[in-house]
Amino acid sequence: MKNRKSSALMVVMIMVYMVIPIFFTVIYAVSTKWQITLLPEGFTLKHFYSLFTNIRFYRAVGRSLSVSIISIALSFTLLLPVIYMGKVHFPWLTRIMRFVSMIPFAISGVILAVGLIKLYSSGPLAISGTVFILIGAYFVVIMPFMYQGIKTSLDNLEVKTLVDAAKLLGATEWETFWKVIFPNLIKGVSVSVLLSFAILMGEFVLSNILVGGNYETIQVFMFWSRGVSGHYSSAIVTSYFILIVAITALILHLNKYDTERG
Amino acid sequence: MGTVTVKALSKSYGDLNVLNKINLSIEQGSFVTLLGPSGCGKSTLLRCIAGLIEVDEGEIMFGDEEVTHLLPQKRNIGMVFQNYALFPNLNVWENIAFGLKVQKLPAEEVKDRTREMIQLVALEGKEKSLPSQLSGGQKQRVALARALVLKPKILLLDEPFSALDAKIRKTLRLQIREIQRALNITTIFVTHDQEEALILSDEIFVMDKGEITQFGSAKSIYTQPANDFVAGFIGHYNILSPEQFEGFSKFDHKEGRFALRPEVIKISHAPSELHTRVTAQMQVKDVILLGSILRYIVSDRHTKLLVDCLYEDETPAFKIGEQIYVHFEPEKLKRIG
Amino acid sequence: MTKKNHYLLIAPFFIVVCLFLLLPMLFVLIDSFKTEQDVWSISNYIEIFSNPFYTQSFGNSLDIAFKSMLIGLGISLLSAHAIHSSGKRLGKIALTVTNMASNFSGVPLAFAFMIILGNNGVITILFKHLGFDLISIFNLYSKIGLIVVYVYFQIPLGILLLYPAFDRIEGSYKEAAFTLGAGKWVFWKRIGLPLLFPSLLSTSVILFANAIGAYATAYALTSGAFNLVPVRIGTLVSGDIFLKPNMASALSVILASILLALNTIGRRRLHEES
Repeated sequence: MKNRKSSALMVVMIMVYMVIPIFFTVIYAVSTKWQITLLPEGFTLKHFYSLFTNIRFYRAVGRSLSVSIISIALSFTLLLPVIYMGKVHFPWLTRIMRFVSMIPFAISGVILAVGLIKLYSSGPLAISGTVFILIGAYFVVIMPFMYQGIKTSLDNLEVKTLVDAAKLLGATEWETFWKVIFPNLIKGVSVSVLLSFAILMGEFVLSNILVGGNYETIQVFMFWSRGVSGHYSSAIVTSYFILIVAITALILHLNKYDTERG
Repeated sequence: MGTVTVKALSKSYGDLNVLNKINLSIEQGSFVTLLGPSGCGKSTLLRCIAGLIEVDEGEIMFGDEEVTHLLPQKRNIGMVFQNYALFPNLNVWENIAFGLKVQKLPAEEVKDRTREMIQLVALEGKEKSLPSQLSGGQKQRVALARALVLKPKILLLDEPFSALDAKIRKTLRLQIREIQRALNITTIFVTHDQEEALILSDEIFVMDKGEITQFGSAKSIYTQPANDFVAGFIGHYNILSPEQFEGFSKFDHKEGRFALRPEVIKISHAPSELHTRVTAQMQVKDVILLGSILRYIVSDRHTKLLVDCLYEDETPAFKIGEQIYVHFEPEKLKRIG
Repeated sequence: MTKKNHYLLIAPFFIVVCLFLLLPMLFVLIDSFKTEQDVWSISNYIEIFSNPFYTQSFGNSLDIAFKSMLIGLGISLLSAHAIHSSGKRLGKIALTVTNMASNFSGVPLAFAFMIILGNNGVITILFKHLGFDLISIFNLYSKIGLIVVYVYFQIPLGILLLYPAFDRIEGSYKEAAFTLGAGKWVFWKRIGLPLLFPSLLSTSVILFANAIGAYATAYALTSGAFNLVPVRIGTLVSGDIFLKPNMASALSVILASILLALNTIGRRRLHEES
């Protein structure tokens, strides 16, 4: 069909457009020099070599991974009871949560940084500059997405009906939750977890302003590296991108495998 | 004109052969049904006739005109969809008038024809309602009116009643048939419900796995199923092989497959006096009340049969566990394979 | 489980939210009404509206957000439609690529564009070889450059937001319209676009809010040199040159109000359709 062909062409063009920045970044990462010539003057792996032998890189990656995972886990752990209670026991809680989950969109990024820095630079809770303030901030950042994911997942499970049915069969609420609801929940939440993970790994403003060099995340490290050379930065970007894609693919794959089995 | 002819029509999706060299021809003004289970290709065939799907091979003719590659807009057909497909942003009046407005007809004519249709499907008073405010039956009537207002040569209906409940379905069935007869419009109806097909159609095309396995009048399909598939799909045929007739007298066949309608088998306490009949002694296993029909499930060592009787006496004549005799005229046994 | 246990389970979440969201919010609001000497006053706000330095930052932010949203929306719309009508396999690949691209924002994106369109960028050099001096009309580190980069990260988000709408709208409505004699254009004009409108509205609002609040991309690209509200707030609170946290708070309050208004409109519309 003529319609399909012209659509396909446009789709290919858009994909090329989206891939171009990544593509050239990768090429730049393996070029010796590419300043005035049309093509790179030569190819080399020395930028990657110097990156992979720099322990600061691994520390940065490690910090980003840790703070992301901890924030997601914390978010999940704290949100789950609230959403569950809202569905099964306290309907008013669901209404409150719908409002609360939208606040981070207005108090995003730099604005949150302003508030946090004021509050925690001094006094009893002087956690500014430490990883703890970052975890707290990240918790807020991903809260809407984790909320949406958990809520949709629980909605699809028809939790109240399940709990009622289990009650009639003699199970306690606690048992029902762990044996029935929780396993199904994990599957449904994976998309939100992935999204949150991508967001946190790519987060710059909060880590730059709140902790900066005290807890250098991968993005801050990336930003700093522009002073070394464009090639070095490109090597970092390339590695970062491969890492994100790999973890995303892994989680999606695990999720698919699990669904097929169950 | 309003005749439809399909020649050697084939359609595949990748490796899957959905339609395999289909041939059929439909007379002007007749109501035919494409009947078959899910996946047999009936909806695909309908969509090919509508022009919504491109065929891989074959020909489609409306009258003398070949329409195989003609756009749906130009085929002068009306179509009613399973999920109504009413435009959510337009009210009842606007939905029905849509096709007329597309043709840029004069406002007076649009008004008259739309009003006429609203009366035909009995939706007066609902002109300003949005689809979301209508019941399923009302939505389907709007969909029908919307298709018919354009006075198409051919009307296509893709399982139009499957989303509706039984009572509405019965009413709408008859309404559609009446309207179709009054307008004398060639109609192709797709369904998996064999009862519907039998009630409505002049002719039925039974489809299985992308092919037409039998076609004919409702009567011929019902009483003379051509093969196992049709016999299993239409009615509640008993389908049997010769070994299953071991306990029967007067049964001579050694091979083949046979279909026997439940309503032609008689049950009695004593063996039949009519010596022409094929008889066997069996036991009543179950009695099921289907409304006007009482269905007995009877069996002996070799076979199990469904026997349908009209439910006249309030207490069933034969009880579970009783030994009874079944008998039927040998001509009633149809060989199907 | 007792009532008390129920409350115990939901408390931790709200404690964290209070500590890291509500309390900071409150303090930002309060501090915006104090001068840097801790005196109550609305002087910060007055200065924002009178000092051209600050009005320019809002002007720039709104301008870039609006233009990048408009262009991004247009391209996303056409792309989402193309992806939807291009067949199952290609569509799936395209959506995967789009998902990947939506992660590519902030610092990495800025660097990538410097590589491509910077003074010694790949495309800049390509044009130079073709005899065309790109730098004379296009400066990556100017408003135009920022718009181009912002458009880049608007598109994947726009596609992912608009694509489901096409799923709902094409299909049987299109088929019905075709059988009623309508061509493609008539369908889109009378049925498709009207049905698409709520999604378009909410998507444009989300894209706009996204652009206005963006910090990392602009900061990485211009090192804080270009006058945008988020960048301004950042420099005032981290004391690069002037440490003026209360002014930063005032700017934040205004920015937050804009974002709050936008997100309320945008998400309410999204809720309405689902």
